[in-house]
Amino acid sequence: MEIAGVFGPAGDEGLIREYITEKIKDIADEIRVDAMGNLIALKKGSGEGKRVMVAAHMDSIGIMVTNVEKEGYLRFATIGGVNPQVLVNQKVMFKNGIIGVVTSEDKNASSLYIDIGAIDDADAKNMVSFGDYGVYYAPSAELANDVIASPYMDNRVSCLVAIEALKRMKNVKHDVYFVFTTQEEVGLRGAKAAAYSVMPDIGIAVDVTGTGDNLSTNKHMAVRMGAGAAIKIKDGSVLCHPKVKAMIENIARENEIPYQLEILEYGGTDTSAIQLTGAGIPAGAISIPARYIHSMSETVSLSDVEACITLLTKTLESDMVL
Amino acid sequence: MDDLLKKLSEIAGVSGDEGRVRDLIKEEAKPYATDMVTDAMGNLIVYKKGTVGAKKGLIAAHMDEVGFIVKSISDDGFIRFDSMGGVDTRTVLSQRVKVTHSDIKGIFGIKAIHLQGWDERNNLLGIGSLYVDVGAKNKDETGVKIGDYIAFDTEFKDFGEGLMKGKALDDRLGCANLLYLMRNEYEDDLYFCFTVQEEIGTRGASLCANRVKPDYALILEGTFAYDVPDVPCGKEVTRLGCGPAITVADNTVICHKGLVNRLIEVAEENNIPHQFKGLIAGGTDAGAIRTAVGGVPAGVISVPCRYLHSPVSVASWADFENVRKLAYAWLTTDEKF
Repeated sequence: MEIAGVFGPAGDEGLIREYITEKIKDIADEIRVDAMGNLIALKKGSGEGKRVMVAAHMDSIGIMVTNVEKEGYLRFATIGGVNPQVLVNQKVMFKNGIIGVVTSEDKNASSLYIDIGAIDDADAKNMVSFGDYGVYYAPSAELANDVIASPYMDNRVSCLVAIEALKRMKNVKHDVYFVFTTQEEVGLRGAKAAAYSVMPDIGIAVDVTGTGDNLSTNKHMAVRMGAGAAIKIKDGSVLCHPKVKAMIENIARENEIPYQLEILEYGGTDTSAIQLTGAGIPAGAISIPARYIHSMSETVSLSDVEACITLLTKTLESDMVL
Repeated sequence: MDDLLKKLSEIAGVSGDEGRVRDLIKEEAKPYATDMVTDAMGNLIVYKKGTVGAKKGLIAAHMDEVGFIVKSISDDGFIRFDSMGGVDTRTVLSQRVKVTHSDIKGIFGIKAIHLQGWDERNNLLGIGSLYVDVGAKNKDETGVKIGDYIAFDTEFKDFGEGLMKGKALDDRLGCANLLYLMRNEYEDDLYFCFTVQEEIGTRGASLCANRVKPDYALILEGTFAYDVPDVPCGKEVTRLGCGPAITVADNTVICHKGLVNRLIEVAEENNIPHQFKGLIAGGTDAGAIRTAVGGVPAGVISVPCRYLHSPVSVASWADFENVRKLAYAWLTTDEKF
């Protein structure tokens, strides 16, 4: 999944925006970039439909250089929900291709720094500057049964779902705004601005969700990887509009698309930002079940991805009556 | 007994599942409303045209209550859930609840004391170890689906000397007072907003403010009273029976100073007992409304309630009525702030 490897942490989404623009420029009717860096692509409908906003955030979590020690080591801040425990002894890559190893002063990951192989601070500053972003540097891997483990499935897999739906959908009535949003990982910031300018009749976010099917935590979460597209009821930021949820569920049922209902206790999604815009917008979400979210090995099943693409496509092709 | 308040208290309406409360309020508001609208979030906005109509006022109370949502159901028929709003899980053990989509009754199960080790007896249970038992043998027999809501199942009653007890007094007391207030005529155009999802982060209220664009706002709430044993004088936050609690500030808002001063003056002019909410804590819709549409002068008056966010709260009838009196007196003065 090439798209997962494109550089684009929250606040520095230029490269991923170019990548996605390249993929959709021949299909979309209009493309613009707003002041927040959101990529907004309109696919016009046949005229008698609604204004629909599909949001998939294109930013990822990452790190930012905050200081260079005189020995040439880099101090950094985390951007978005990065677990310091996960970072220790892993590699990060900066936009210019410089690679560093994250290491810890102690066993508790309470004081981390990055080694880029610099001799001293002057050498380091030639390669990396204050405010530079870094992202996980790890290969993606194909596991058994069409399961993929890679950094940044959150949320590039959803960008892929949106791009594919844009390509596949046919005879759509609605004006569909595919918005690849920025700065979701630091507080749904891009989607707020985009929802305001698009002011849709209905919003649908696409994002990953957690699962309850591994041996560690959250055994009471009902979502399973490989059991189909997840239709969101709630997460930490939003209660989806019951009619939007019901509409998507009906479409899944009618088209025999494997699906499951999602209750995520934590986390936030662009769904919330859309819903709370203006005097309120009915919003829902389609989620791709993913294990080990925010680690280098975010793991998804390709069968779920396919189910999500079909579900989004069929939803947009429907009348979308609430 | 106030039958309307009893109905409002007993009906289930956890955050995100306010439909039943909204339907009841719509029915009650119909004779007095000029117009009504339910927005995309589920907020109910009841418009009452003023006799002059020079200004727009927004009066809000939230319909939702704290509760739970079904997260998963085990093969042997037990229900796991996530809490909606700040519920102290210590207060729910062995309590009666109902699953609101189907009216199925259940209880929060807990291991019998005989089976608990010493460490279990001394430790508090986290939400992860709690479950609801609806008496089913297996998953299919529960009749419960993921996403169903669970509400406390508590009867509303008179209690002791001049008190009431029941669930969801926060903020059905406010809803009831809004319904009573709208029976009167006012000079200004008033928008009585019954908001949703207050308990999970005041999510509904700002949308009402965006829609109405009011000149001023008053929020009627239930707030915590801590006038119980072993609490020293001055630490009670509010006391039952001492009148409406006027908020100066809480965690989400610093109320409009001029508006707060007017509330105090109006209370004094009309001999309405009142007190201050003596702690900067908690949050209300005032936070969302105060900062909406470029800033709205907003204030909060609350009925003091003991045991807030638990299966049963206690409040004073006199406080409930005095909140209404103060709100009415303020709404009918020329100078709001």
